[in-house]
Amino acid sequence: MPMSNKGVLIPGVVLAVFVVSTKPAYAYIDPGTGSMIVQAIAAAVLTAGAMAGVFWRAIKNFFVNRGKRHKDGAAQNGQPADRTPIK
Amino acid sequence: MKAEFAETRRVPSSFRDPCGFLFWQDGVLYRQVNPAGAMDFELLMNSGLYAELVGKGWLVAHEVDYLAKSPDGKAYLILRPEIIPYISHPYEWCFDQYRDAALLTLDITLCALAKGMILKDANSYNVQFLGERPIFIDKLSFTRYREGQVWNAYGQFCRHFLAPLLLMNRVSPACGKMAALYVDGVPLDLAAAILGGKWKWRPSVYLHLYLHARKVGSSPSDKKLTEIKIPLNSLKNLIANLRRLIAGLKSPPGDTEWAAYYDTMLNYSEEAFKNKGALVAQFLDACAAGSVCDLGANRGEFSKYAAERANSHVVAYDIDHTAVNQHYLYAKAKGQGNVLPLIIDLANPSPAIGWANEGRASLAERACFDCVMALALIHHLAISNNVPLEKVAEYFSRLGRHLIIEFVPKQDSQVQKLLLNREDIFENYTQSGFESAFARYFELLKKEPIAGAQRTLYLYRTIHERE
Repeated sequence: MPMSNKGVLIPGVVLAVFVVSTKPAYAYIDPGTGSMIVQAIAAAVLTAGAMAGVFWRAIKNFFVNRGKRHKDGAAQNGQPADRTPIK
Repeated sequence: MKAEFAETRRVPSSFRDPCGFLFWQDGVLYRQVNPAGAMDFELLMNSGLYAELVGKGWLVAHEVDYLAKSPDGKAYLILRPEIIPYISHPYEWCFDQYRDAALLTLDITLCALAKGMILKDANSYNVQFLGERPIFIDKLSFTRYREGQVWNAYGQFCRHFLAPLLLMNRVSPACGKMAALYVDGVPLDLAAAILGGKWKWRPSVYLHLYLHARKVGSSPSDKKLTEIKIPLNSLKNLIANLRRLIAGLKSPPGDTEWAAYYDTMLNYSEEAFKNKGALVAQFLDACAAGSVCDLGANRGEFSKYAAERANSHVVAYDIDHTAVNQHYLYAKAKGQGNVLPLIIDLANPSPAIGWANEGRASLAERACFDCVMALALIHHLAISNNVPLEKVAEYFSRLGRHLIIEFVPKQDSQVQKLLLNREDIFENYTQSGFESAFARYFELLKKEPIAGAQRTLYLYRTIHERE
């Protein structure tokens, strides 16, 4: 399918959106031009938001785990460990 | 559903989809699958989606009927679907029913996507209720999904489900009745205007409603828009977001005048309440009631006597949204399976709407019950609504084969309350006036005073039965 030059620009978020004509047969209701446009915008924004959420959680986990590794390291040097022993 | 047609008759609302339609033949409901719908139908069956959805209780089952005759001779297949005992319309649903219908539609869409299919329409008439359980009834709505395609039904879903739900939640539950005014869903610009600025700050509401309303109104209709593609994961995110938004809406609070009515049991001692229940059960046995309509059911305090009978199904109508919503939530929690609470104003019952006013049947057209119950109701119709007793009797005679009705005399404290600040112009509202009005349309079978209350319970058989 050829790539169109017309992308859908979302303010602050640029995604590569591929354009392909995909009208299913016998879709008898009118999808509505406006609804199709909003659907593309909403899907892009929500996906970007979901990706940002994943990225943010990864960064958070990195620093939380880093803090834990720091505390474990201190415990091995004779200082009290924070963790309660597993029974 | 009234289904006693000897001849073949297409279901009036089933005409838009070229892939098939519903029809009655000799009193049996069939769904014709046209050749245009063959591929999608086979994919529905072979992909395992049909088995999965029926297994979950989300989709009506069917049997293929090789002997049925096609009305137009163009069938690919004819199916006999599982029967829904009573057809309800979205404008009769309480908030939680509406929400459950919306969530079912979205859950089915996500299941379909997992099997390479998608819903090609998402209107609220595709969902019915089996008791307290929503179920999808249109298996011709499923079509093959092609990677990247837009969800054609997104706009329809927002009009039919999202807009009414937001309005019912933020403005008033009465907004659910707007579905009767707009047969293809509440226009998004109208919903946005009524909501005003409420919720504009919420990203998902902004996208699905406000921005959607603007774009629908302003997008050029003279340009062919061939070229929008949405990756599958993005589409799933969109649907999941809609689902989270709808699932997160709070149910309406539980207190209104009517919902609290039986808590205070204003007119009954506990014993009188039990006596009434025992009489109702006795009268239901006497007329061997299988299908029952409880008018003015409140939260179903007496519907339960009908529901406890074997092989029964009960439709419990009330005017009060809160009472119906509470009844629905209770029925769900109990999992009773055969009680359907719905909203109706008997002074202005659900009309016939749609093309030629035939698309969606009125109450009287759908009602064909073994027994109609009208307990603690007559005084509200005759006095609060000024409906003459004969007109009440005539309308009730159209709804069922038997009637259990409670006469509430003027001495009763509830009637005294209704007459407190108004002139008593109701000369004919007496026990003898009631009996002679109903004698025109009904044959009296039983009459018993309710011990401990000033009221009388009647069991009637309808004389003029509608076909």
